[in-house]
Amino acid sequence: MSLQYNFAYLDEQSKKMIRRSILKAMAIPGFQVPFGGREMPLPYGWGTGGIQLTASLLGKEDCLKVIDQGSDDTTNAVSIKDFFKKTARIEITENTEDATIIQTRHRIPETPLTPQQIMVYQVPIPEPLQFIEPKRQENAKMHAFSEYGTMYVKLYEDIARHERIAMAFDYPVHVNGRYIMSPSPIPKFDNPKLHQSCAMHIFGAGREKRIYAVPPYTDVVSLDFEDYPFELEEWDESCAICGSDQTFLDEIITDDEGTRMFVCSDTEFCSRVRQKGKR
Amino acid sequence: MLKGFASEVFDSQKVFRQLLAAMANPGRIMDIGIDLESPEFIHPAAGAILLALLDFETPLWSDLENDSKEIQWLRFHTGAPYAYAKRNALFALQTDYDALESVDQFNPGTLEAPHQSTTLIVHTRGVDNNGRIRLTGPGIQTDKFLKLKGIKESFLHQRTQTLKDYPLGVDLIFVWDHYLVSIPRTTSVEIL
Repeated sequence: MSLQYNFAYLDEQSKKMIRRSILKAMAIPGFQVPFGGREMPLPYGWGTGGIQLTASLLGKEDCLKVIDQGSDDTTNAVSIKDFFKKTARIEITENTEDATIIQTRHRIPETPLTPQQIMVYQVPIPEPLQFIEPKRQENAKMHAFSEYGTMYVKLYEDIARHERIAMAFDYPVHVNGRYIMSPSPIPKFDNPKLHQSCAMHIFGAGREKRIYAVPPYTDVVSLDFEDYPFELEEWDESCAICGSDQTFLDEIITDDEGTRMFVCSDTEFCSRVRQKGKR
Repeated sequence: MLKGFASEVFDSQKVFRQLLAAMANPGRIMDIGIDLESPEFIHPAAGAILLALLDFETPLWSDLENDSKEIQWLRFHTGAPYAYAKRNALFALQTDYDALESVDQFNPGTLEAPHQSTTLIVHTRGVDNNGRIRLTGPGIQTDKFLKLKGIKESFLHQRTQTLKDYPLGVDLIFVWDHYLVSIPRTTSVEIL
């Protein structure tokens, strides 16, 4: 006896509920829409939110790319691709340009997105105010009344203590001039890619049961101060494999003596640049 | 009774993706992308959107009577309850565009739950991008122009009054035949 799944695993009523939440999220950029998150056949923290979004979006003609920290071939990405290969029998790609849906854990590809593409983010902690005020009811009120002063106090405390805003990833953003939003733990290097992006971005948190979104061509501004403007990280090195000096680099220790190399975090971009022979 | 989607799984997915593209890109006219025979007094686009999104959790208000064959068709295929008050509706279907004066009586949500608002689907006599209605806002690169045949200018002016209530608001989807175009609450509308 073979086990038959519904297309893309989720039942149709669950998809309807998630689709309604996605539409409202798109209509209220940056607002976290609560949804009836379902149990998925993998533990929380492995992308249950993103998978539920992808399952609700996928159709037969879609081509799916999944990345985990920029890489197409790490455990989480491979497992999620296998999951949808098995339950939806759709086309899978590593090529960013071919993908219609890109599910990601914590990176935005280096290759510019197109207006036809949908980015799906796996989000561990959707509430940017959680570490300032742990009570969810209070968070809801703070968002309701745009009461974001304490967020700026936190940034100020960083500057007082470290002389800079000490957040390298999950750097909060102001969306459409209204809601403060967690861009998920993408490096702040990727934050500018959200601003006035031509693609749509949908964020799913499975454990916290929240969906939020950024439509195309929407203002997404990283929080900062006039005298301490938002700054991107820079590297003195270029990628040791493809030579790119414009990409987000991972530092890799290569032996016991502490020898290090810097390589592109986006493996697909890196290998494409190398094949083009730019080196 | 007419049948619903030919394929519950793939037709509802297709319609949803077309609608999502419309909602993310206000003013962009989308085709529902499937064939659907809907009852006499509702456009296939309205029928398709509602079949794709309604279920037992989503009260539907309409200017059509609960016992009309259109509403009975939607309710048979989706199990949605009928809302007798606009305020209680998560989805609303206005087929008589002449009678549409304002979005006031629909539910704009609350400050803490702006998503619990009405999505209002409105029939038109035709939609195209060669009109005097200028749209700006999230999802629109510079601006977008629209013609909504049959929709009163006074309605659009009244709707503009509600923009200051953001994030509260009613999201609009205008339909004609197989086509749909959305004006969510974030979109500014001017009539040139």
